Amino acid sequence: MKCLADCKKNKIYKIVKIENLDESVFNMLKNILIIPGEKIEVTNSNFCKQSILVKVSNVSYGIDIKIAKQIFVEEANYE
Amino acid sequence: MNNITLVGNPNTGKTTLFNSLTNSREKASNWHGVTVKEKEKLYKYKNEEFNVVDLPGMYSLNGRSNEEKIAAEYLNKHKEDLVVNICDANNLKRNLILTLELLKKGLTVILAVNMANETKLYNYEKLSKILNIRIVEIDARKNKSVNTLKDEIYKIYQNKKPQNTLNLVKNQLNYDDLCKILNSIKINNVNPYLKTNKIDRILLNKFLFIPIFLCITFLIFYLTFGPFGELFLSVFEWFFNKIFEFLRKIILCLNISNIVQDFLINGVLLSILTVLNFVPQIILLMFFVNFLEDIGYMSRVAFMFDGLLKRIGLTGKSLFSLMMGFGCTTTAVLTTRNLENKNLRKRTVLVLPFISCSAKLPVFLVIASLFFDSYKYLFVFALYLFSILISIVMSIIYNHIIKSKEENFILEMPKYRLPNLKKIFIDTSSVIIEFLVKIGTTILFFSVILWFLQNFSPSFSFIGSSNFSDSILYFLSNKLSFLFGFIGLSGAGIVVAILLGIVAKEMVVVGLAMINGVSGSLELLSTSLILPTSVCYFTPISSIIFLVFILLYSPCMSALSMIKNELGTKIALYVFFSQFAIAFLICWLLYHSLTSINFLIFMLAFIVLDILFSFMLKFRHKKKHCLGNCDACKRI
Repeated sequence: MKCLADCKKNKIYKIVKIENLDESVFNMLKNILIIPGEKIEVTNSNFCKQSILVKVSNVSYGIDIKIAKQIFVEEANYE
Repeated sequence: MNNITLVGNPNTGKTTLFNSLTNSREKASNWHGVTVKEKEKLYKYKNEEFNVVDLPGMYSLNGRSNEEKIAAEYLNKHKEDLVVNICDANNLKRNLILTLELLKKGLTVILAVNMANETKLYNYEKLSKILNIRIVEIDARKNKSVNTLKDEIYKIYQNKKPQNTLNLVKNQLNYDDLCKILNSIKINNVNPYLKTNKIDRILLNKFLFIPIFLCITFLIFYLTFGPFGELFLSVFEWFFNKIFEFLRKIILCLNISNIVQDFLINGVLLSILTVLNFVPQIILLMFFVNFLEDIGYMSRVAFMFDGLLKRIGLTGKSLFSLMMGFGCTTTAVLTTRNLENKNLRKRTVLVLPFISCSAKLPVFLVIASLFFDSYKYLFVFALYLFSILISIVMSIIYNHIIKSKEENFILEMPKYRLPNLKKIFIDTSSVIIEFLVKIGTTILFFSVILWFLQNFSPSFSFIGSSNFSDSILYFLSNKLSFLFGFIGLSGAGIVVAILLGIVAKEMVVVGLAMINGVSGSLELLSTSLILPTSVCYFTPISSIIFLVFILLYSPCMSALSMIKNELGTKIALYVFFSQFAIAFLICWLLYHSLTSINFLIFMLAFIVLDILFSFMLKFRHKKKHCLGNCDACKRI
């Protein structure tokens, strides 16, 4: 298990848990389906690596690296 | 009254559907959070009136954002209304979570699946049966099947039967069941974001992103302010001038006094013409901004630059406004509307006047050519670099003064779409109308005051525009000229030019020509500006200081009016006075550095010592406390 910020690009992971986040951020993640059990893929990062681009249910979201550090994932297979 | 409430996730096309249903021109955007309060309007269908309410985007009825709370509160108060739940067909799973919540609440719901024609992923008839609700496949952007939706709404109100929601939905259906249902009705495995992902691979490539972004920005700049923009502007100017001439002739034919005639022609009509002259460039700029927004490029720009700009207290979302600041501060202030965080927006607006707008360019070129003709472009380039540097410094300072809770950057990257020109025109025209109504009236008010100052003597007798040196404006400039003496800009003429620049930066050159009594020729003006016998003349040092002052002092009246309109009078007044103060301070330092070698050495020594001292402090802090791992160290 590792945090989303350390994940390799273009590889699919499964969200295991989300920790230590403000309730509003947690809810926001829940709304965009970044929830335990869902599959997630890191596709890009911006300059200075302050945010990463992730893909959940085919939709891309830019998320702050601080948030990504609190999302823990494990490797998953393509279905 | 038949009430209909439009509900849905952010950026699913609620406002576009609202516009289609009611034939309105509300601002819709391919960018979440554009609708921040409910809007309502009536439409008629088969002799029945329907009142449509467009609620802000919401993910959940228990959402915590302000927009979600507004929407949830409205739904609680209006349980009898028919809810049209708009879902994005490309992201149905996420959208249906809200649908389930609406059904569990016992609301009567019609599901409008937007953009369903792009990729038919699910069997909506089956979904309709499972959830026991009416589903209409629409395309709000192209106005497709909106009449079918109107028909469904009509039928529901004609039948007046409460919706019989399945017990399954009311009690048991959860997220896992929803995933199973969607899998069972899936008819197509195509990824609707496939093209978007491919385009993103090119556009968001680390090596290609900046060149592409610069090309796009340059193209917008070129089209707005370059030959095409000028041609567009000249067509408008020709048209406006014809109307102006026509109205001028009518006024001259009227049997009224000379003062009233001059007031109506030079005070009112000319001011309206000044306001209208901004319109062509605003049309072009806002058209391109709306175009980029509509195709889905803006979110990508915000994402890519977020990291860099966070270091100076801004975010990726501020970047586009800053780039537009090089064109026109007034329109750039308008583009900050996309920034949801109030303090971030304030900081972006406060930095914008430091960025050199295109109207300052003629002043730079005329004055730089006086003494630095061979290097004038290099000189102007240096001024632009200085404006960027000072913007960065001011942004860091404002970030410490106007603190805001660090934004948790979560931004959806919308699907790339072909531009919808009708929608872009509607969005652009709504901005133009707002500009003319709100900003035009303020500019008109100030222009009338300027006319009074130019045409009346201190004893309030009418002197006309020919006796400029007897006017109140010249008198005031004379009184203020001692202040400008501190920064090496002596003479009332220069002060008049600076004051006229507050109306519009283009007026600075006009003012200089007017004071020296030359018109029509740039060569004559340049010659007069270096002759010590002229009313207004420059030395090499005073020309540099004048240019730096023009670069930094208060933005023009239209920009100030726009700031007042967007952020209030206090901020507008602050911008006016603080820009003057900063321009004075920097010009004072520059003047003394250029005229006294001792002062220059002192200044350089001070800067070097300051840098050394701050490095020493940081080094000690790192060694003793954090080993470079604290947030402050990382930010530096």
